[in-house]
Amino acid sequence: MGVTVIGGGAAGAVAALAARAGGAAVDLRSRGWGATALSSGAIDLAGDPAEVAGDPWAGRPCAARNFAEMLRRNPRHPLRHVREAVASALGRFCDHVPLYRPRPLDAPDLILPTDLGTWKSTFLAQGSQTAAHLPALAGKRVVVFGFRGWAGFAPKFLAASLWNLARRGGIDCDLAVGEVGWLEDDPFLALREPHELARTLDEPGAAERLGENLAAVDADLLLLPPVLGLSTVDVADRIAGAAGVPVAEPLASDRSVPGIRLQMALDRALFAAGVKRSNATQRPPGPAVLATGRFIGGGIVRGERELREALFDLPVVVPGAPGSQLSGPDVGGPHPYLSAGVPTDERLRPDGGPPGLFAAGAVLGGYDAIRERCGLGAAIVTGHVAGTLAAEIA
Amino acid sequence: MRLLSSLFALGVQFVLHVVRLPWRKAGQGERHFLASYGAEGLLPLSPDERRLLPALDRCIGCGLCNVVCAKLAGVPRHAFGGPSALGAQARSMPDFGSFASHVAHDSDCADCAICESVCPTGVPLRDLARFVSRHSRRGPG
Repeated sequence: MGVTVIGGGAAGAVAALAARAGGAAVDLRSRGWGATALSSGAIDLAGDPAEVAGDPWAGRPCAARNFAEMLRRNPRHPLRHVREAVASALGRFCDHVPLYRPRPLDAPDLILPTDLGTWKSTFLAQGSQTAAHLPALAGKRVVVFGFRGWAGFAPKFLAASLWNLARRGGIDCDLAVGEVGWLEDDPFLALREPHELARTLDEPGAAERLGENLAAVDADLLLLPPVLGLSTVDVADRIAGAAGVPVAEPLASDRSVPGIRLQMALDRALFAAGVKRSNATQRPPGPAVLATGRFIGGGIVRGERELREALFDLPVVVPGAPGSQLSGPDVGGPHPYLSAGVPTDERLRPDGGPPGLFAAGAVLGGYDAIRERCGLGAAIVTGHVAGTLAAEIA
Repeated sequence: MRLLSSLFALGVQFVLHVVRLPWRKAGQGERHFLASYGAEGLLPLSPDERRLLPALDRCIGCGLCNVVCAKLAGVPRHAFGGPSALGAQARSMPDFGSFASHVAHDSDCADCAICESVCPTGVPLRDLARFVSRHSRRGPG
């Protein structure tokens, strides 16, 4: 018997790949893209509770310590069931998605700039994003480049923000701004969306042409708009090769190309592993992994009076919500509904679920992916474990 | 007394109406109706369209449909914002008039349905495009 995986985001894709690795035939059902495709492409595992908003330098421990602290503070976190699998799950993920190179859990968190001039600390990021790790800019000459005629990126603003961030952390780096001509014969260039430029860079020779236009620049690192390829993984390397200078991209805030790049890489990995795909919606027979996500993915939906699990009508818990109080009094504060989901036993079997059903990713209750900053990391690790367990009984 | 005068006025209007009928041009009533209500977009929906409405409202404006739309590359974004513009902005029928330039790109749609296959919330994007197209063309002018 095969394994059915419901959901094609990070949790579902990793579960399907793990089940294939366990020798099962896998049928993956998905309705569309979801939170993974809309993500920054950076993989959080556990946020630093000592971190101070606005100051990247306040505390900078490693993922291993943050992880232990996160489970201590939140004893209902589903990652408590799978802590032994963290390193191997992330390692297997990096094997399948060559955008990422594995990092040890005791390495300091990455501090990455965003195209809005803010920053984000995270555990793992795509190679082109990792190259913009703020502490690694020390002693370097960094030139932030915009594309001449494209309104989607503000290099001067980003350089000024980076300069402020670096100075506060005692990082001494030389920042400059430039503009490179590219695609100027496109009459619609000004309002192009990021993914359109990214797709252009996927075309053979395009990255090299852009790199040649940057070859004369005196710099140790070029920071380009976050559009370095949509469906290919080596655009940054190809630009760097032609320019003779390493190339990086900041995290993208809205309409994030690196998130779509991650989703497309997962889709390719599923195809390469021989995972069968469909958009069937009925309950599957036999072993299955429920990876339908939370609100964006549609795994948890609003019922008449309460939140419901959409496919099996499993019981949903809303931790810390007395009565029907789903949101907290403070807009920026914690909101119980953001941790809503299905509780499971230690083998990720949802309470009240049919035999052979496992759950992974954001459909699991008990954690707030944004506040605890563990979204994609939790999806990958629980997905890996759920897929492996489902294959064992297939 | 008031009842009698009302009935009398009604009777006069009826006689005038019957006398005028032979000189009436076809479609005049519809034109009058559209002139009064068309500009505001307040036109009746068919039962099928009414059933479709909740699904058309599910757009979260994420823009993923634009990413996979193969026909979007050759179109200037100020003229047509892609399927995502229809989803996020075409919620108010009185505003459909401003979609005239978008609707002009209807014929570019290859009907490939890939936009619908990536939509996180399952908006029936092709039905939405047809709905907007149909209703932005009704009304005067």
